[in-house]
Amino acid sequence: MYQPLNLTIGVTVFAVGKYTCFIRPFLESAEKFFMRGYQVHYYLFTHNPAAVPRVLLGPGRLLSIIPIQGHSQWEEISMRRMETINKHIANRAHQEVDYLFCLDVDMVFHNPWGPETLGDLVAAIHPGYFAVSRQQFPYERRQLSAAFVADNEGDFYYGGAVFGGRVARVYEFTRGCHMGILADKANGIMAAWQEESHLNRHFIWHKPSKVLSPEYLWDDRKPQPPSLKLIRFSTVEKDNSWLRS
Amino acid sequence: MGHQTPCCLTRSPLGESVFLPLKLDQENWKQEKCEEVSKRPGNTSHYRGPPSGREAPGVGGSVFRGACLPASILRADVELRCYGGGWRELEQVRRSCGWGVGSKNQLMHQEKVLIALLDAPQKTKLDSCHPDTEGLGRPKCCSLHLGILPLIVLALVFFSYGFVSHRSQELGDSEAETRMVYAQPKVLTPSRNDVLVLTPWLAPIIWEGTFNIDILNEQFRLQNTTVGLTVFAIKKYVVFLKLFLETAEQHFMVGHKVTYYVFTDRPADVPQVPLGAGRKLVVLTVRNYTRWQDVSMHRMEMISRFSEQRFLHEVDYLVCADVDMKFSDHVGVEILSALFGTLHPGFYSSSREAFTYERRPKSQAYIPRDEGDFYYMGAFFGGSVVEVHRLTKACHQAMVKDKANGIEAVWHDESHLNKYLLYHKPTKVLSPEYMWDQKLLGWPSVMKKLRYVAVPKNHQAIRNR
Repeated sequence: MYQPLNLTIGVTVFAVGKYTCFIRPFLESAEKFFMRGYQVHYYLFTHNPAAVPRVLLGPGRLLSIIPIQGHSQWEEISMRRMETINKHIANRAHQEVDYLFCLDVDMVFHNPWGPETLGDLVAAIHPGYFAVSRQQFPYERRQLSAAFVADNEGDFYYGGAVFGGRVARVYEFTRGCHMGILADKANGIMAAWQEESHLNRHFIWHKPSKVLSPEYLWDDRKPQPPSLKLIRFSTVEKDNSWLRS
Repeated sequence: MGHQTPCCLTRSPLGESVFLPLKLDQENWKQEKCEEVSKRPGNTSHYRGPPSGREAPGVGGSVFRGACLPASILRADVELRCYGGGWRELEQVRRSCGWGVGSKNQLMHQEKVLIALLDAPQKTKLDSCHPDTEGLGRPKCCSLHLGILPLIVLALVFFSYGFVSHRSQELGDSEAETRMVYAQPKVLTPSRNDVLVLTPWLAPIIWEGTFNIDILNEQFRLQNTTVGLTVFAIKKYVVFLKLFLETAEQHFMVGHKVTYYVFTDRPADVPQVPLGAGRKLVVLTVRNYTRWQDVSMHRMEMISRFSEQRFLHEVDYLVCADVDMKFSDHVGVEILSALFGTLHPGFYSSSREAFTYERRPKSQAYIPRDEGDFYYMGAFFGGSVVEVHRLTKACHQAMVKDKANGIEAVWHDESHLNKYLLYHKPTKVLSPEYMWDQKLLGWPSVMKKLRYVAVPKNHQAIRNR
């Protein structure tokens, strides 16, 4: 159904500081499994373009390296992504791609990720919280924050590592999240899980049109439950304390 | 974490106390003097700032900074660009910061404060600086220069004017829903375990229990959705109109805007049925045909023609229904999507070889025995106006071709509908709850609700008269 539409799928991925070491496994596995047969445009945001390895891409697939400012605090890097993606759409992506996915770089594809994931506004369920009641979701619970979610609200806990959709919807979404992040900054508060908290708040008010199961966002450290037939995209083993220093 | 936002207390032109936060530089958390930047296209600038000064970008919009709201809601420093009075943008920012939470009255009140602050040309002098209630640091008194307008909201300027002003008009589909409380969806518990709720191409199959109507109603009301319902009452079929319309008034899209399009050759016989608010009826006079098969098939032509001429401008979605039916339970916005078909109640458990598709290759509606997803009923289909237009046009053209080749499909327009939906997959499929005949089929346990059901009729008496 989607192939005749001649779509271009964009992917934003951020590799700042020591995270540049994840670029190769991410891109190589994406070349094997992500949207095979479609035109794909990777947007790699990094503070150090020289550190980007050369990865061979298939036909119809492009990589653009976009330099961005590094930050000393990893939380800051993480949260600035919303603003950067938003600006990037305005500058470039809205002309170049039809759909855009925003993915974390410290992940690897293990199985096909195809057009079944395309939708107007797409979110993925966090692998740690799909079997748990909403009171236990790690939403931001302080009322002062713009990402505040009350105890009796919430559909699913979505992972910040995967979201996407039509370019225009992603634009609006990232802007909304960034507004919330700014409001929090002005009030001197940082949400519990940084932009993931804001993302979750936003997905309550602006419900995604498509939700990806934890197959599309898995944590390899967790045992695979029987309900999960296939793991398509999961975390790479890493040492957080070293990475974030 | 506790960096408190220093504020001054002042009075808005509406006479209430508002907090005027000091502007915080986002990068460095410096405090600066209260500033006001307000420049509306067409008005003279009221800008007066600190000596270092900073011009407000003015072309194409105004920039307002600061957040002045009654003390109970403290949100500081969210910069907003308003395009020619683009209050929808303000609304979005407000909601994203949680200002939108609260009753409609609270929202309107906030809006009034903001509008008044925007419009007020007079200077606002600080009456006093009071120590704040909980949550704020030590306030600082600051004096405002003459002619400075009170601050409104900050927004972020990170996109080019042209792109945003263009886009923000287009992106009407991402309004936020208001706060609702409902049970949490359970990831590991399917909503129905006796029926298929999703097609292989990921279109939902609508059964009772698969949807929360409150969430959906909210989403569609926010879009101010208007639904058109087409129904054909040709010759004696006008007798079915009264019950059809009366039951539609009770069950069909209640709470939303509805336009009934009644196609008839006997406009005088259209009954007067009282309609609810936001609902209207339009009578469209058309020709009749001698053979009932032709009456049925030409519906496609007429819907196609009127879609282009009229429906496109008047409604968002079209539902095309048979008239010899009545609504017996809720039929609402859960059915709406780009293109939907309904499972025929006689074939939902049959295998595809038994579907009564047109099987002669000579016909345009031909479907071979190893193809076919479902058997859809011709009596209830719909979608966006554009998609319904495409469908009806394609079916009509196929029927014209068949006629030229001297063949008529076994189930007429229904055969062509099935052919079309096989190659243009619907984005939603309605279960047989939406198309039932209780006399013929009883009430099996898999049907939790019977929503749209056949009205008994004497075929011989009613057809061809």
